[in-house]
Amino acid sequence: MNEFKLLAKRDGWTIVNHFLEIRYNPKRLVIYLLYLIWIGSLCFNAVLRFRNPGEIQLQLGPQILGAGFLGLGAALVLYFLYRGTMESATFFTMGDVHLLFPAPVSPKKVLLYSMVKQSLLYFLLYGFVILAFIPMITNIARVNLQYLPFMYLGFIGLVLVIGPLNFLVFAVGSKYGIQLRLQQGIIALIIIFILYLVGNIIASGMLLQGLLQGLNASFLDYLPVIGWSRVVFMTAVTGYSTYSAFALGLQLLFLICCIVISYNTADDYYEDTLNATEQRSLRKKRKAGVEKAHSISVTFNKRKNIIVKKVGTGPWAFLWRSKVEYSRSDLHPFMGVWTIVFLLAGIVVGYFVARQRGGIIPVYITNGVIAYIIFIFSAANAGQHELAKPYIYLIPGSNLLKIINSNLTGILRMGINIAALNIPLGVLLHAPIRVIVIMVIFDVSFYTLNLGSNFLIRVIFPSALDQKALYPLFLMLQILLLLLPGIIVGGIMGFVFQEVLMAFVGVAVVNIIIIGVLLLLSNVVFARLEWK
Amino acid sequence: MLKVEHLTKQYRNVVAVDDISFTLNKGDIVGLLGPNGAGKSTTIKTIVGLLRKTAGVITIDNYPNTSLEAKKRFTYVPEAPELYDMLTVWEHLQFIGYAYDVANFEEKAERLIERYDLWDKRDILSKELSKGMKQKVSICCALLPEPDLYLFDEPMIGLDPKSIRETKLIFKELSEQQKTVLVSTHLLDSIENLCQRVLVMKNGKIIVDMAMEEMKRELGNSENVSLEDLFLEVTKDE
Ligand SMILES: Nc1ncnc2c1ncn2[C@@H]1O[C@H](COP(=O)(O)OP(=O)(O)O)[C@@H](O)[C@H]1O
Ligand SMILES: [Mg+2]
Repeated sequence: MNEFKLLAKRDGWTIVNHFLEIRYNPKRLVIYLLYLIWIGSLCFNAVLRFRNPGEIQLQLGPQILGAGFLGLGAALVLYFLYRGTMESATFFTMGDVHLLFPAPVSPKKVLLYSMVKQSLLYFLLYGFVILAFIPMITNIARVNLQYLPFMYLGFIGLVLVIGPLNFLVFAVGSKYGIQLRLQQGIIALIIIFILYLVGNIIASGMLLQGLLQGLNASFLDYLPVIGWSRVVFMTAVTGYSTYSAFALGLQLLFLICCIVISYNTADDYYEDTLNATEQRSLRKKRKAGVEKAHSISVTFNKRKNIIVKKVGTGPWAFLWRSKVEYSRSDLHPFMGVWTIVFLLAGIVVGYFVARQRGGIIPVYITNGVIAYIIFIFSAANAGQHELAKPYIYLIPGSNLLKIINSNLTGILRMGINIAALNIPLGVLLHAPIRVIVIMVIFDVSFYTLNLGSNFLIRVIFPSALDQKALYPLFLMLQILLLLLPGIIVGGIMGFVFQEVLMAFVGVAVVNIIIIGVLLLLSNVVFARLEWK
Repeated sequence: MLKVEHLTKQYRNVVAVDDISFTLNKGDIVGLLGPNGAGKSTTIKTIVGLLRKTAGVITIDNYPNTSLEAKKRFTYVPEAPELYDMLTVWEHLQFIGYAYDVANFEEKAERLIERYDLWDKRDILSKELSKGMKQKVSICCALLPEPDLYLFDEPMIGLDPKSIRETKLIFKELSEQQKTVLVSTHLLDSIENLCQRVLVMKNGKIIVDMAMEEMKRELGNSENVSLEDLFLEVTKDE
């Protein structure tokens, strides 16, 4: 049978089964409905914004938008190009690997079909992503409704080329054995890009000004992919020109070229996609709340023997284990690559802010943003990996100690990272020591907040099916329940004392109280926990 | 049928298969044995074409193993099969039927799922199957096209006793039909009376390639030497 027909049949069955599944399991409908409401509210919001355009739409608006798009686009494309020298993109599932790859079907046609399918799918799906950003975009700059499709096409043009480009870099690299050469070339590109930005910052003497100028330089519009898609994207803001349509054409041509060249170079790509496919399938299971993430992110993988002294027995084994894991995967059990990043960020931000206006407010802003990011990122998988393994249920000892011990190292590391950021920041901006200390406690309290609460989710919704289906919702609910008390109390404190610092103290104290309560509850909670 | 010559497979820094050669003739049922990490799965995956060979030649009926002609001649059961989440059991068989162009596959598929007790599961999505059931579906998928060469990577893992018995029976039938089978397994007694020949791998090399009879003669001579004894004898560290 013809390959395309075979694959189309398979996808046809899949789509039908998705619909049937809703019929047998109407619970899913609730989720889809909620997503729909969410999307609807986004649209509604966007329309409202259009009716009464923002109060003060900055002169700088279009510049910020253009610079942001180009900066993010460049980062994205360069990152995936770089990854392409080490790992291929994948358009497949594990089912493909085990059933389709061994079958007598032409690998080229399979690739072509899968690439085109993914492109079409993304074309539809990412519409929602841009929808989510529209309120923000209209807030920054005035958008011409008539050219809204260009905005979408510019964005999607960038998204669509990433997969094929990534795949192509890997395929070409491994076919001609020039991975290293490609890697060096891409690193050179990255360095040139960064130098260009730094040059602009130095030339203008101001961080944001320099970045804006650098990223908005008009010659960048002729950069392949990134520049073209920016031109298309910005058509909705700056107005239509012939180059807009031309850039759109170029973008499409580029995508087609990528796919055609991939089709022609790739005849033996099965092994290349294996690893990425496996990773993707794991990630998918993780998202569904079944398999859990690695306990830590791995920057290194030291092969030599790691020696960590015994810390104690029972629950203390968790502390020992986490120290071993961090020693193997990072610079030091308590410090890592991120410490350096935070330190540098503290110095850079501190330096530029001090030159521009100084004051203590930027310290608050920086830490507020960081706390938020930390909280969101730790919400998804804090403590889950431990619950997915049987040891925490089996090892004898106090549950409270088990939870504390398995997280202590992570909390300590986070504290050190935050301190690395805040100390230079505070020194450069002449912040009093108590501010720095409170900032560290504040940020760490957000990191810790999720650790205890993820245990609760498992008890409240013990059924794996419920968890899988409603997981994103729980997460949102959990975020609300955990964040609100702190924010309310912090707001009151700030208002009463008429001091921003007191608001931070309030939030931190409430967070710590919540953490304490959750920890004290741990024994009750554990009695009801099940290992899945 | 299957000819492997000087096959080497290297992962980034591990030589998983180190210059091995063997030939399977038509009608051979051969057990591929070896401790964990010996390189059995790597060998099979390389034959299947999921992995690229670092060096060497693999041919199936004189066609290179990655050619379509070769692929028409074999099927494969992976060591931990994963299926299409959103297809039903029956649709998997249908898919394989189309992919391998199986003549009147419905009849054959029905017979297979009956043998493996999957009849009442035929309309269930594969993501709702247990591990053992997925294994059964994967075996059915491999049996359906009735190719000349079967590559099984630990097919018995996770199967219930009845399915193990059924699989053994099927091996016997395949042997009678003069089909060729390469099966990697740790369940030595399950192949003891089945395979005429065993390949034992260790550290990426084939350390034993012998007919079962010969092997027994060489190592024990007595009546009650089991394959397990032989295996432990040849794979033990010096
Ligand atoms: N993807 C991989 N990357 C690196 N090394 C691997 C990979 N897969 C297997 N290996 C290594 O190759 C060797 C053989 O593995 P495998 O063929 O799975 O053994 P077996 O199936 O006989 O147990 C082992 O040492 C294993 O660690
Ligand atoms: Mg194996």
